[in-house]
Amino acid sequence: MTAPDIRARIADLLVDGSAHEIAFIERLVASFLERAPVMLTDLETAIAAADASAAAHKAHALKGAAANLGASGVSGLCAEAERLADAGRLDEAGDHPDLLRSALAEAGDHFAEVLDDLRSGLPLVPRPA
Amino acid sequence: MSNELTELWRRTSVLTGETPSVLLVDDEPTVLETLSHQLGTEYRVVTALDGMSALDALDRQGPFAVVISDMRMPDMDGIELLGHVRLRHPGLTRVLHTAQGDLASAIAAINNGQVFRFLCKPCPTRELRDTVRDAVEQHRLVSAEREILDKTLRASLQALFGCLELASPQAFARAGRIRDLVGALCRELGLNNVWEIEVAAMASQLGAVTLPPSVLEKLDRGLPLPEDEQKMIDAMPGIAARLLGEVPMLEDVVEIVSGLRPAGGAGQPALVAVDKPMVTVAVGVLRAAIEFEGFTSRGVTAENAIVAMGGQGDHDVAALAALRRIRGITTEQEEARAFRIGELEVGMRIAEDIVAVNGLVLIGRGISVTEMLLERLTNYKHIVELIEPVWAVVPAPTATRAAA
Repeated sequence: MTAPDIRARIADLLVDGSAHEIAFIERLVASFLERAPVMLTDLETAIAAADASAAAHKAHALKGAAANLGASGVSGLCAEAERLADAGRLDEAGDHPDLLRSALAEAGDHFAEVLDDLRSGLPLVPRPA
Repeated sequence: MSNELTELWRRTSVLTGETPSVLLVDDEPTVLETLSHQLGTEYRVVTALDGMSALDALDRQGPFAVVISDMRMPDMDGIELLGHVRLRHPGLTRVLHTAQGDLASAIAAINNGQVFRFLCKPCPTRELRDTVRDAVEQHRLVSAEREILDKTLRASLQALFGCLELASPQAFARAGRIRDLVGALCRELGLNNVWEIEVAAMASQLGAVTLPPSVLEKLDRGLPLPEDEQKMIDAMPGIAARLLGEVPMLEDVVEIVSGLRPAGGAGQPALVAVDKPMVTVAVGVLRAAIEFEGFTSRGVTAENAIVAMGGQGDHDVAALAALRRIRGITTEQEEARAFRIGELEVGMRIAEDIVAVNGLVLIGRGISVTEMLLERLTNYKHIVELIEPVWAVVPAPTATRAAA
C-alpha cells in the first residue's frame, strides 16, 4: 500500500503545482532517499548491539522521516521496531533491517513514478491504486 | 541541516509586524521543511531542531503566537518543552505534533503542557492550516483579554496609590522613594519582573493609612519606635496583602509584600515562598530599600547606612552591593538647592517635605515635580501659607543650564 500513501501525501503537499514547488518536493524526496539508508544502517547497528534505547531512537527517527512523505511501508516497520525496542523485545526485531531495506527500495520506485508524473504535469489524484 | 535555528522566509511572503509567528520544533529537518511549506505564506515561521533551541528562539526571536512541537526528541521531549513554554510564555498557543498516538502521551500533553490541539503525523495540509488558524485566533483572544486585564490592573493600582497620596502625602512620598530605589536596585541587579517589584514597593506602604500621624511622622523620619508602635509598622505588609489578596495577576506582588512581615510578627510567620526564587530575591531587595530609606531619613549618610545594614547580617549581600554602587553614583550627581515655590520647574525632585506653616506635610520629599504638582502647589498657596524656601534636587542638564 506504499504507492497510494506516497501519492496522496505528495498530492496533499502541492499547493499550486508550480515549478518552484515541484523542485521543493524533489529536494525533499532526494533528501529522504539520501538519508534513509544511513538511518537504516544506524538502526541495524543498534539492533545488532542489542542497544534498545538507541534502536528505539533510530527507528523513531526513520519512522518520522518516512511518514512525513507518506512512505507508510517504511514507517510501519519502523513503528514495529520502535515498539519492540521500547518493550525490551529487541531480539524479535532481527528481520526488520532486511524488511526495511526492501520497503525502502519499493518506496524509492514509487517516489520516482510520482515525481515523473509530477514533472509531466499529470494529475496525482485521483489515480487507481 | 545543522542543529541550529532556522528562519524560513518563503516564496512571495510579505511579512509585516502583524504577521503571526509560528515556531516549529522537530528533530527531523525534512518534517520542519514540510510543515513550513504546508503553512504557506501567511505566517512568519521559525524552526528549531530541539527543545533548548526552541526555548532560546522564544526568548530571542519572538513574540510568537503558536508553537508546534514534536513529541519524541532527544534531551527534552515535546511534553517537557511545552510545559516550559506554558510557564515562560503562558499566552502562547501550544500544539503537539506527534506520531505517538497513545493515550498516555495525550494525557501528559494535556495535563503537563496544557496543549490546545494534538496533531497526528503526518498531518494533512488542511488540518494543519485549520489548526494553526484556530491556534493564532486563540492566542489573539488570550492576548486581548490579558491586555484588557493588564490595563485595568494598572489603572486600578494607579487609583489605589492616588488614594494613598490623598490620604497621606507623606506615606505616598515615602512609598515613591522606596519604589525608585527598588527600581534602581532591580536594574542594577539585572532583575526581570521589575514592574511587580515596584508595585510591591508602593503596596508595602499602603498600610500607612492606618497609622496615627505621630507614628507616621516617626516612621517617615526613621526614628526609633516603642514596641506598641513598632507593631503597627510590622502589621503594614499584612494590611496591604489583605487589600490586594483577591486582585488577579497580583499573586507575586502579594507574596513579596507578605514576605516583608517579620517572622512571628503580627501573630504570623513570614510567608516567603522559597520555591519562587523571584519572590525571595524581590523580598531581599525591598527589605534593603525600606531599611535604607529609614536610615537616610534619620540623616544617616548612605555609606554609613550600608555599613550598618551590613552589620545587621540579615540583608541580601547582592542587594547591599548594588545599593553601594547606585548610591555612589547618585550622590555625586545630585545637589539640592533652595527655591521659592514659583521657581520650581518640572523635572526637579523635592528634597525636603513641603510643609504648611501649621506643620501639615503637603508634598513628601522624593516626589518629582510635574505640571500637576505645580498646579497643586499653586492651589495650596491660595489656601495656606507654605514654608519657603523649599529644597529641590535639580537634574544634571537643568543644573548645567542654570549655571550657564
